[in-house]
This record gives sequence, structure tokens and C-alpha cells, in this order.
Amino acid sequence: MMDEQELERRLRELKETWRIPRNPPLEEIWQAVEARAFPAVPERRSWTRTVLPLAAMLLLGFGLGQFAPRLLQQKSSKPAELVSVIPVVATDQSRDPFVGIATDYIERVTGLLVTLTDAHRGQMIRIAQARELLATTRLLIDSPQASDPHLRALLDDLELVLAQIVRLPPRATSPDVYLIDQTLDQREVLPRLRGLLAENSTSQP
Amino acid sequence: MDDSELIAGARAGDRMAARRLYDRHAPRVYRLMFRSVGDEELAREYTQDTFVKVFQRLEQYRGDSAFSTWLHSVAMSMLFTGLRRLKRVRARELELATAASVPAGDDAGDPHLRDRLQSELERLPTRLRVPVLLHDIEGYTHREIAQMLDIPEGTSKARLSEARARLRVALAGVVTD
Repeated sequence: MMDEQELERRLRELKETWRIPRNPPLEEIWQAVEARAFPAVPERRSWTRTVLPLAAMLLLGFGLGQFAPRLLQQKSSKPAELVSVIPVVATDQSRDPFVGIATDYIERVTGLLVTLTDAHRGQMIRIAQARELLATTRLLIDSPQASDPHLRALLDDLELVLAQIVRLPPRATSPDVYLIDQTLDQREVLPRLRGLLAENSTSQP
Repeated sequence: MDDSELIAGARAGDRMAARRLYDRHAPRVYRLMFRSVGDEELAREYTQDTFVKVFQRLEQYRGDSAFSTWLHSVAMSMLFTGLRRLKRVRARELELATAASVPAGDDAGDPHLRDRLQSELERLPTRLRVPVLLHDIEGYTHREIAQMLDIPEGTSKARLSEARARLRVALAGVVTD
């Protein structure tokens, strides 16, 4: 059996050969770090007040067009039930930064997932955006304010979906997207997101 | 300019100071992440999370240990958190996947010692692989490793010893190259 000194020597040799990153994307990492660690002061209140109801309407419209045929085929009214139990995220954004961040996040993640359905038609999936949203998802999961079980369950499912998107190859094919599509479908992610957005828009002052 | 001056600048919101601090330490953190996970995407993600947390918590650094040691303790925390999440996500993917296949990864017949050593190292559980990586490959002392992993120095030594023993057993009889 190999002795201790021989093993130590062999392990030291690995320093020069084992898993050496070829082109560390340090500049790219810095850009992301800078954006997250030193964010510009957002003008969130006026922006969300203007855009959120519009986004909710657009998404609901999109949802009706995209999912109505499928929903009509289903005997169960599960998505509607899900919508009714999803907590209202925002009531007064000026009082709670978490609410503003969560609302902005939910809009963006919904936009991305809607884009994902277009990927079947040959459009590019925005991996970089998914990566950024994945980081935000994890921050929200770690936040003590995300303690509502429905919100947490949704965030957990979104983490899974976003992690799958991030790992997609640059030219994703239908089989690559299949698993993601399946997750979205089985967990009813889009109906829950749309429900959350709709609830949120009606609670805006 | 040394680390303490850059840290002071970064705390005051000087992005150039923060950038120089990042440039000084990021290559080693990224390499450590890459070696730990063997995946560029994950290494990038964990390095990014590490530096975001470091800059957000720079006020908490009191200078009790070298900045690089504190930074690496954050990096290790990010790594372990990330690996736990990865395990959870992969487990759920397997639940969902109808045609998912797990790669066998059986290269036990490889006759070359270096290749076998690498593959056996990768097979070690994380708690044993990381001390080998930090001590034997990256050259950190047990004291530094103990601070990074928030464990007693003796535990670091014991884990390294256990890891080496497992490697020696796994490599018994392998042809040297």
C-alpha cells in the first residue's frame, strides 16, 4: 500500500494538473457582483405602480390565450383554487423593501417563463437572466419574510425551474426543454405566478 | 495598497477599492470553487455569491484573522450551502424525470495512478474532500482550515487523516505511472 509521504507528494502534484479552470470568467462575475452588492437606488414605487397592473393584465391576457384550451379540458378547478390560497404579497410597498423586491422579482420571473414557452418556437432562452433570477430566488428563500408556506413552496419550485434553465445548453432543443416544461406543468407554476400577480395588482392603492 | 486600505475604501462605498480587492482574491476563490465542484457554471455562481456576501458583510470583518481567511470562510459557507441546494434540486429532478439516467462513472480499471487519485478524490464525501483540497492541494494550514470551516483544528486534522487513509486503501495495488 502507498505510504503517507508518497500520497502527500502525489496530492501536491495535483495542484498543477487537477481541475485547473481554463478561462475564469472573472470580469463577468464582477459585473454580477457589482450589480448585486452595490445596486443603484431604485425608483421602485412609481415604476411598479405604473407597470404592475399593466403587467398583470398582459399576463392574464396571455394566460387566457395560451392556457384556456388546456384548462377547459381539465375537470378540476385546481388552478383557481391555488390562486385563491396564494397570499397577497404587497399591500404597502413603501413600508417594506421585501415586498418591492419580491414584486419586481415575480414580474421578471413570470416574463422569463413566458419567454420559455416561446423557446419551442426557436427563440433564445435568456440564460443570463435566469442566473440572475436564480440568485434572487435564493436570497428571497433565505429571507425570514418569506415565511408564508405558499410563497415558500412557489419559490422552491421556481428555484428548481431556474436551476434547470441555467443548465440548458446554448442551443437548447425540445428534449432539453421538456423536463422544464414538465416541471412547470406538474407544479402549476405559471398559474400560481399569475394568481400572485393578479392578487398583487388588485391590492395596489 | 494593502487589503486593509482596500477594505476601508470598499466600506466607504469606493467601488474601485472593492474591485481591486476582488481582483486580488477572486482568482483563488474561483479556482477553489472550480476544484470543489468541477463545474464552471457552479464555480461562477458560488464565487459570485461569495463576493456579494463579502461586500454586503464587510462591516462584520473585524481583522481578527487575515482577510483572505475570512473571505475563504464565507466561500466555504457558500460552497456547502450551494452543494446542499444542488443535492436537493437534483433529487427533485430525478423525481420528475421520466427518462433520467445517472452516469455510472466507473473508472476503477484506470491503470494510471494520477488519474485514479483524481477520481478517488472526487468520490470522497465533501467533508473529507475539502480538507484534502485545502491542505494538500491548496496549501492552507490546519489553523486556517479550522477558521474557514468553523471547526476545531483537531477535526481538520482528523478529517484529513481519514481522507488520506481512504485514498491509500482505494489506491492499493494501482500501477504507478
